Amino acid sequence: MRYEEEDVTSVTAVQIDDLVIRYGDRTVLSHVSLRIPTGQWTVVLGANGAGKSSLLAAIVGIGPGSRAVTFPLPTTEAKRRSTFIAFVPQKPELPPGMSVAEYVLLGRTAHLGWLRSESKSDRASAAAAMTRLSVAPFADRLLSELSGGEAQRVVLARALCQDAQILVLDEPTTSLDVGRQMAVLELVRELAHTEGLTVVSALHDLTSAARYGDHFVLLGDGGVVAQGSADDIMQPSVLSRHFGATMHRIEGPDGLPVLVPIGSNLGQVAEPGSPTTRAAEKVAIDTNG
Amino acid sequence: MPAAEVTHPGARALARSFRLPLGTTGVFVGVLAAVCLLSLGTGAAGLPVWGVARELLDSLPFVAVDSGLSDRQATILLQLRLPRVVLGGMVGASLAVAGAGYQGVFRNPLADPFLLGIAAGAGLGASVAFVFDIDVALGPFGSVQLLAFVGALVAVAMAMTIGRAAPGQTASLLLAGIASASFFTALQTLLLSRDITAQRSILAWLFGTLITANWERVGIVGFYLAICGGVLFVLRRQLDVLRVGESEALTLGAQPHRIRLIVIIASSLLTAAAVSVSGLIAFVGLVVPHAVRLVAGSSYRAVVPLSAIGGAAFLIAADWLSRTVISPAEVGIGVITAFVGAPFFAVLLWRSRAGAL
Repeated sequence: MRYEEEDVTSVTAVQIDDLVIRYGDRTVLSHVSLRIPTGQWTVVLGANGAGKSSLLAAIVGIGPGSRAVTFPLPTTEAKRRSTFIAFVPQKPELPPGMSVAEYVLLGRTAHLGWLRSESKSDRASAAAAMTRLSVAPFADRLLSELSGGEAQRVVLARALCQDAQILVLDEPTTSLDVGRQMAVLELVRELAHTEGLTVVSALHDLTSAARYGDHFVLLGDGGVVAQGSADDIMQPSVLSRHFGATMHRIEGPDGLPVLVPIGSNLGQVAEPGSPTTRAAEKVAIDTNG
Repeated sequence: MPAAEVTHPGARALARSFRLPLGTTGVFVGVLAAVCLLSLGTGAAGLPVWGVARELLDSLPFVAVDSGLSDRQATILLQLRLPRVVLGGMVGASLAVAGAGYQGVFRNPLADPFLLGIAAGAGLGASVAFVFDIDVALGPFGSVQLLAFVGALVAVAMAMTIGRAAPGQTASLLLAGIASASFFTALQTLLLSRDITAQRSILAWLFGTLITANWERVGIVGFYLAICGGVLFVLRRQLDVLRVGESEALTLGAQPHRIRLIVIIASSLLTAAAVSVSGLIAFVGLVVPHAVRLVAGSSYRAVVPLSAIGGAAFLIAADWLSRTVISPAEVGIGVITAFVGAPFFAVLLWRSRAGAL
C-alpha cells in the first residue's frame, strides 16, 4: 500500500472540497475546504452554531453537503461510507428494550446488506469489540439499565464492531461527569493508536481538546478560521477571538496546556486580567444567542 | 465451536441476540392449535372435539382415519366452520403483523392500523366498491381489495402529513389518525345514507364479522398474507436497525427511507386485505405485538413471526367469543377485541408516559 511508505501524517483520510451548508436562508458553512490527516485525532472547534455538527454530519453522510466529502485512501476509495466510517452521535438513540449485545451487533449492518443476518464471524467481531471496551460482562443487560459511562462505552463498541477506519464523534462527553469524560477520551485515544483509526471529533472543552487532539480545525464566521497543531491553534490570542471569551493559557503539571476562560469579551473589547470568571460552556451558550 | 467463543463472557448474550425463542414459539403454536379446536368444536351443531381433530387429520393428503363424524357434521366442519377459523386466523395474523410493521417504521409503540385511521381508510375504499358495485380487477387484485388498499394508503399519507405538525411525539401521529379516521367514517356514513339496502350488511361489516367466510376469501387473504407477511418477515432485521432512528440507521449502512416505504406498503396491503373480508376489527395490531414483546423481548426477529401466530390465535378466540357470549346471536368481533384492546391501550399509554416503552 502506497501510503504506508510515506509519512503517515501527511496522508489525507478525508478530503473536503468547497463544502457549502445552508438551512433555508441561513448559511452555516460556505466554501469550506479541508484535509483531515490519517491516523490522527482531528478536533473541530468553534462556538455554538459555528457548524461543527453540520461538518461532522456531512463527513458521515447524513447531512447536506455529503457530496463535497471524498475519501482518497486506497482502502476506502469508492466504497460505501458506512463500511469505513463509524459515527458516535452527541445523543445516541438507545432503544430501551434492546440488549447490549444486540446493540453492538447492529454495527455489522453495513457488512450484511438487506437480507443476510449475522454469521458466526459477525458475532465474533461483536465479541471482540465488547471485550475491547469492557462491556462483555454486561452483554445481557438492556440499554435502559446502563449508566451514562457504560452506555458511552457500548456506543463505542458498536462503532468498533463496524470495522471502521474513521471514527467520527460529536461531543462524545456531553452527558458525562468529569471522571467519565476523561476515561472516554483516553479510551478513544488508545483505540486510535492500537487500531490505527483516524478520529474526527467536536469537543467543547478546550483543555481536553488540547490534551487529546493532534490536529485542530477552528470554525467561525461560516468557515475555517484557523487550522494546525496545538501550538498554532490552542493559543489564547486565536481562541479568544472566536469564542467570545478572554482565554488564559497556563502550563499543566505534565507540561500540556490548560486553557481557562477568564472573562467575556462579547460585544466589547475585553479587559485583560479582568477577574470575572464564567464557565466556558456558559459563554459558549451566550455566543449562540 | 472455537473455545474462545464459549469462554467469552458475552458469547451467550450474543448467541441469544435477535433470535426467535423456540420454547415461546412452541407455546404460541400450542395455544393456536387449542383455540382452533375449541372454535371448530363450538356452534349450533355440537361437534365432538376428538372427532374434529380426526376429521382434520383425515382431510390431509395421504392420511386416512375414521373421524366418527356423520356426513352432515363433516360438511358443517369443512365448509362452514373451517373456512371461518382459517380466515379468522389469517385476518388476525395480517392485522397483528401490520401493527408490528407500523410500530417499527413509525417508531411509535402505539401505532396500529385501526388507531392510525388506516383501517377506516381501507373500509371507505371497500365501501365505495360495494356501493357503486365497481368491478375492475387487476390480475389477482379484486376491486374491493384494490380500493381498500388505495384507501389505506391515502389514510397513511394523511396521518403522516398531519402528524408532522409535532414530529417526534408519540401522540401527534395518533391524533392525526383520529382526525383522519373520523373523516373517513363521516364520508362512509354519507355514502351509506344514499343506499338503504346496502346499509344493513355494511353496518354488520363495520363492527367486524367472519360470518361471510368461505374458501374463496381464504384464498384472497392468504395470497396477501403470504406475500406481504413474507416481505415483513424478511425485513425484520432492518426493523431492528430502524429502532435507533433514521439518521443513525443511515450511518450504520441501512437505507431507512426505502425500508420505510416497503414496510408501509406491505402493512397497508395486509390491512386492506383483512378489512376487505372482515370489516373493522380494532386493536389487534396493538395488543398482539405488545403481548409478544412482554414474553419474547422486543427484537423484531421475534415480534414479526410471533405476532402472526399470536394474532391468529387472538382473533380466532375473539371470533369464538363473538359467537358464544349471546348465542345464538352474534356480536361484532370488533366489539370483543375493543373490550380487550381499549384497557390494554390505556395501560400502554400510561407506561409510555413513564418512559418504559
